[in-house]
Amino acid sequence: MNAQAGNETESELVELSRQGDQEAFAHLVHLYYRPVVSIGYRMTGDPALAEDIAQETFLKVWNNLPGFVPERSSSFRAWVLRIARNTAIDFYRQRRQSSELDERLEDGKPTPEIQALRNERDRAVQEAIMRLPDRSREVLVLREYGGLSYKEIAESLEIPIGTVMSRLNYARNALKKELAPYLEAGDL
Amino acid sequence: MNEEHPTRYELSLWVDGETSEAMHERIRAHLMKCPVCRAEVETMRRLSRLLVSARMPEQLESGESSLWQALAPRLVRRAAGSREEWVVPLLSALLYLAWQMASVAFVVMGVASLFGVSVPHVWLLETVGAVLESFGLAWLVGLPGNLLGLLGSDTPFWMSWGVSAFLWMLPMAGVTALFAGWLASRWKEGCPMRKIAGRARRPDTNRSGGEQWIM
Repeated sequence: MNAQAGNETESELVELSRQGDQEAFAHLVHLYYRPVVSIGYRMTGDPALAEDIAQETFLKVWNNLPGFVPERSSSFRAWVLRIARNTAIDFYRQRRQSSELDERLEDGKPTPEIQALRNERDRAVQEAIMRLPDRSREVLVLREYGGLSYKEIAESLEIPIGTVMSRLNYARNALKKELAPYLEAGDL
Repeated sequence: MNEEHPTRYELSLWVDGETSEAMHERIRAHLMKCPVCRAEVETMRRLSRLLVSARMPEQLESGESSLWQALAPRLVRRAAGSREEWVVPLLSALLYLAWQMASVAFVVMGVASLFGVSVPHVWLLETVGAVLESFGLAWLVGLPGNLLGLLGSDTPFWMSWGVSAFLWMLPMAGVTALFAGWLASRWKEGCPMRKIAGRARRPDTNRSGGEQWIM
């Protein structure tokens, strides 16, 4: 990373980035790398695709920053994560349509190198998330990994807050059943 | 317990910090004395911790620097092209303004002449004619006169002025229409004109639509 963690607030970093300051943008990338890449990974289940999604997301953020006005738009976080979510969906569609379907996603078998890096619980969590219906999964991911409020999720997905709640509730119930053995473990 | 339990939705809202202050207090008070709801809340929290603590593959956990290395060169290209963001719209706006002022001047002078007011149209036409000649467009200068000649020598002044103004305003209207078209085409994608005016809107980043992505 080029940028050092300075004293600038996020809004200052956004303003500097709007003016073309790449160091400021590098710091924003640092701040948002994890939620963005988490959304990519949790929504697609594919690490390589998640890397591409993250890169494309930050490129779109950079290109669209001059048109982002905080007082008129949603919060910067919600804005970035909405771009990440849309990009994830686009990549996911392309992957499916290109007939290069990732068999690992379908049968839940990770590659050997990835398998070596994951423990059983991490894999179980990701597989359970991937088994959720797409619509419930995206709400869950934006909430748990993006940290968005119900209102921000509703605005991002253009659905009522009640729908956000019902999808989130469905997802959590499903995960609670699937991950019951891990929820009962003492280390959480 | 006689007190009614909060619904699962309400407990979920409470865990997520999405309740109103009144509801927050009501549920908090209920949880103090209801082990069943407390257990439900604890399960929700454990699930959230389980999800968040689940690690991603190592390539993602430590992939920030490689992402930046791949991203930075692409940002440079974008930054190099950013001059277009204000140069093109600024020049277009100035051109548009000039045409509009000229149009207004023609209309005002035309109307004024109808009421017998003396207007410096001769000076104006001579100036415009000189400019056009300098650009090798001298034939344009003679066009109104030639067309007026078709009307006959006894054409009233208001008619000759009207024809002349119309002929001059035609290209102005064309340029105005072109500019308006360009402006409209840029508006949706975050028109730079609005940035100049400090009234930018957010770009349309929600292309995919929330309801349509299930294949």
